[in-house]
Amino acid sequence: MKHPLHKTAVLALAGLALTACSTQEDSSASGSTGGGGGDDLKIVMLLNDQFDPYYLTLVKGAEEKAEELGIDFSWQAPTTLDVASQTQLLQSIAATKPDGIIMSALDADAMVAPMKQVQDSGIPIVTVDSDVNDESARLATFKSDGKVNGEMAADEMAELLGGEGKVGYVGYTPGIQSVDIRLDGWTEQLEEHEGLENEGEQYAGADIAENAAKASALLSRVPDLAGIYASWTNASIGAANAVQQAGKSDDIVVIGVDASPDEVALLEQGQIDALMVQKPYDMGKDAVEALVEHARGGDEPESENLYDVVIATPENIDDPEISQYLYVKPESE
Amino acid sequence: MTATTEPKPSLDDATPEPEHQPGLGTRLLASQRFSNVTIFGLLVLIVVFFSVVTPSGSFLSNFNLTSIALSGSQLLLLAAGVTFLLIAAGLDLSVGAIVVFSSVLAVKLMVNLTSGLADTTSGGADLWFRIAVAVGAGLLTGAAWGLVNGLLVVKSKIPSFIVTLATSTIILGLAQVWTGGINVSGVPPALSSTFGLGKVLGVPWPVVVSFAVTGLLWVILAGTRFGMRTYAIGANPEAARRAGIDVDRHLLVLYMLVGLLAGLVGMIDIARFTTASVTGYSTIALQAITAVIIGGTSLWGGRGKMSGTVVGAFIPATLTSGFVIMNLQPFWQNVAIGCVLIFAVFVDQYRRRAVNTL
Repeated sequence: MKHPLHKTAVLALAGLALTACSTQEDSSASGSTGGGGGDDLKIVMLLNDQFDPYYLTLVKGAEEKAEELGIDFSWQAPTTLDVASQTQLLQSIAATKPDGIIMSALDADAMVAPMKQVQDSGIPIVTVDSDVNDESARLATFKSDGKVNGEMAADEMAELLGGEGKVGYVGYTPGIQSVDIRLDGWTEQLEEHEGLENEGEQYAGADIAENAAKASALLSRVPDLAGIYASWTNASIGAANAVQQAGKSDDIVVIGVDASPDEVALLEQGQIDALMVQKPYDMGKDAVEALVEHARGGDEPESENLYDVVIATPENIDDPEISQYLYVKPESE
Repeated sequence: MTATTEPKPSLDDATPEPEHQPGLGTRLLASQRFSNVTIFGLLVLIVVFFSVVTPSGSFLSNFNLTSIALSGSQLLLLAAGVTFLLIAAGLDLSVGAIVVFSSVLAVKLMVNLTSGLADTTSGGADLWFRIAVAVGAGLLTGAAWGLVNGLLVVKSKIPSFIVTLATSTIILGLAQVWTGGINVSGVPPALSSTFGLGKVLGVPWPVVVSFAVTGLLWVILAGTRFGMRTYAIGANPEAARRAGIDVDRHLLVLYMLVGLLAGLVGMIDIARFTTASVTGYSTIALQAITAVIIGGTSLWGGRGKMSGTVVGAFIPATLTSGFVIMNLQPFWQNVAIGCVLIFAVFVDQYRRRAVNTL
């Protein structure tokens, strides 16, 4: 799971039973692209979250690959974020007998059994973004390497700071494995850079204001702080704001994660110095390709397909090599 | 709350300064004028503690105090509104959702209105007019949701706790439907550079606005007939009704006030962060209620003071900042904050009980 955030809010409220009356149709968003190639292959994607720019990009990658290969592609996303709803949606999708399912697992353990059941009925599953803990429950996985994200951030920090300075971390309250692991990578890799002094981590919830407050307090504690690694969208925006508020935009390096439109705007203004951009487009594209290959009797995919990040900076942001990885903007904008 | 150990305060208890016979010291302590002395003393104690245990100058630095004021300013606005509502024995759990909805609406409108303009960074009168229109719409939206809450509470007689819990999921849900769950960006940079990050005499604009509005509400609560009626309704709605107060109408106004303030918090948020965040503010309603309770307002209505709310709203921000500067391990920060909050309310109530038994 990449974006823990509306989860907290939605789960809290769902717990209060106000969503109990929604039917399955009501509680899911969906869309499809017309395909219709020679062999009438049909692939369905099941996400674990409502959309944000990251998931929009993932779907876009899958959609464009499906169109290129001439197959039928559609997607579903539950709006109630619990294992039961995702299981129910998975079973409904399986009942339509697709040739493959791409899914982002809501829980690494709980989704194993329902996924195995579907695979046993003859429908192959590949996971994207969030994998399960039992590799026999899926054909392959296509996901970000969160550890590499943190490691590359540490290396980039060392480079931007000329190898010296005090650095800190601002991120989401622990509990989301794919985010937590970024901190592990960051902390371990900092050991490799002797000149970088680790001033520890600060956690905040979903509010940008709370992230900004934690970053400000960190700046008070370490007046000569030289860099901050903020491990998800709202932390990046909050950290950049705190630095700006302190009037230290020129002195403190802010490295953020992801490339949502508001983060890219801050990068262009120089408030964020680098963004660790994941590759959701490639994940979606490769997942579709793997399932189609499998269905057409071609090569079997590698079991683990890990994606690193590209580093966007104000200098390279206009370079097509980099800008191709920026996340799609929502259509409403 | 003292209400649990004694009968509900009557209308008379709500009058600002009851007479007492004992000596001057006791009278001063017992006087409601000083009812927030302990909680204020506790905040002072916390500040002294942090300034002693942290490296010299780091906690009491200008920058840090400004940061604390900024962090607390949005909560203060909500808490000020909630103070009125709690005194009138109402609750609003939907303020966080209203903050999100108002900011989404304002940013969408702002993007639409300013998209054709060539210069959105420095800004002329035309740009500011368009921004003002969007901000005005955001504020009105907040008040409108407050009106919805108020109507439901007053007309349906369903407890405000349930009504606003339900409307909060509806309002947040609508904001999510509208945005697809994605932050809405595109706030003109001029708004952020001038107001969100701007200062007047060294004090950030959001803090100035927050204190000015809270000051105004303080005067209204403590010194006007509107304030008196708020106390009267919370102490005993039936008595208030018989005394000729239009209770329903008054409650409607209070819910609209809280909605309007939530809208204002949304406007400050977009000015500070140049984006309408759909994922935030899921816990701010409870934070606001907590701040008000810490400040000594009764959860059962009828009594409370704005002065206590002001202190209560800044205790969490002060603790957060202090613990980070102390470099307390992050997980222990949560534990410590919870302990201090309980201790704060306990000490305050202990003092009240002592005074009441004189």
